[in-house]
Amino acid sequence: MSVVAEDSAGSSEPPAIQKLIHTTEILEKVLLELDTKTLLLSQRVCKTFKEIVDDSMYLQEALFFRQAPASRAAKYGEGGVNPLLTWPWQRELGLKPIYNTSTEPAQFFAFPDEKPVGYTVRMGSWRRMCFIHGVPSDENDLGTEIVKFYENGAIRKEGFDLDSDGCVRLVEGGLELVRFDLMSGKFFWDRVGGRIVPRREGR
Amino acid sequence: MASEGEQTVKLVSSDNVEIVTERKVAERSMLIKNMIEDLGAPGEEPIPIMNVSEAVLRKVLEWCTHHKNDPAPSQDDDADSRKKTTDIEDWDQKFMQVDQEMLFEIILAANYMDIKALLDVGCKTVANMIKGKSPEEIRKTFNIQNDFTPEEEDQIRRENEWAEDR
Repeated sequence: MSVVAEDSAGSSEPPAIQKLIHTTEILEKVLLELDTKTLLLSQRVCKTFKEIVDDSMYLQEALFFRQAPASRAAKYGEGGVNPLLTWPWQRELGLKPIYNTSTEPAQFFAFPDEKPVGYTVRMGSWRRMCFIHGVPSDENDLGTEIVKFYENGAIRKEGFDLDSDGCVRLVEGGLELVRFDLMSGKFFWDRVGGRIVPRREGR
Repeated sequence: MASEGEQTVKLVSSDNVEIVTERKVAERSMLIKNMIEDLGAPGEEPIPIMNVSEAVLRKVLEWCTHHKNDPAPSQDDDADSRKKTTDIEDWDQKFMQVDQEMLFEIILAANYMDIKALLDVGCKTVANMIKGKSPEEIRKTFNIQNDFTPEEEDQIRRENEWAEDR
C-alpha cells in the first residue's frame, strides 16, 4: 500500500514548493535559467528569493551586479551584454558595446565610426549594474563608482563618484561636460568635431 | 555471468514499496550507482531511497529508462554545459507535463538521487513557468507566501521598478 500526497491539503508534509525553494542549490539553478529582467524583479517574490540573490555569486553575475569572468560571460544576458542597460539612447547615438580583452577595462560604448567617447560603470547594486561581462575584474573595485570617459580611444577622465542626485558627471574647469543620469539612463553631452565640449544650458 | 545491462536492482521507496529495475537504468542516479559500488552485490540487497515516494520514484525511473543510453554526464562544471532554457527535448517536455506537486517532487528527487540531467530539465521547466511573470504572478502560480512587510516590499519595488518597462 502506498500513500501518495496528491494533494497537500490535509497532509502534514509541507508542499513540495516549500521544500524546493528552501533547497538553495535548486532555487539557484531555477533562477539562473531566467532572463535578466524576470530575475531582477523576482527578488520581490519572497524573502527566500531576495536572500538567494544577495548570497549567490552566480546570480549576482547573472544580474550584472558583479563582473563575471570571461569564461562565463557569454551566458549571461545577451551574450554577456546587459539587456536592461541597452537603452534607446544608445541606439539613437549609435553606440555599441565593445569588448576589449586587454587588461585596461572596457565595458564601454563607442561610436562605430570613430572612438571618441565611451564609459565604464562598474558598480555593485541595482542601478550600478555593469554593462557588459568578460573584462578582468578588480575585486576591490566592486561597490565603488567608477566611470571612465573615453575620448579618441584614450581615457579622458575617470574615477568619478555618484553625485547625490544619482548622476555621474564629467566636469572640467568648473564646466559640466557630460552628465550621465543613472536613474533614467540618460546621457547628456555635446560634441563638436569629435570633442566633448561644455554643455550648453537647457539640455 | 550476466552483463551489467541485464542485471537488476531492488529499490525501496520511502513508503516501503519495492521496485525492481534494470541496473543500467538505476545507475543514471549517481546516488544509486555509488551505493551499488559500495554494496558490492547488486540485486541482492534492496537499496532504500529514503526521501522518494513510490509514485515519484516510478516517474523518475521512467525518465531514467528513456535516457538509459545517454552518454554519461560529463565532468565539466556548470560553466559551459548550461544550455538555453528552450533546449528541452520533446520527450522531456512531455514527461514534465505533470501536476505542479509532482513536478517539484521529481526535481527534489533528482537532486537527492543526484541525476544531473533530470535536475536540469526540471529546473528549466520551472524557469519557463516563471519567465516574464511579475512577482505577484509568480507567487500566485506557485502559491508562495509573500513574507515581506509592506515597507520592505515597497523598498524593493522602488529600487527595481525602472526595469519593469524595459
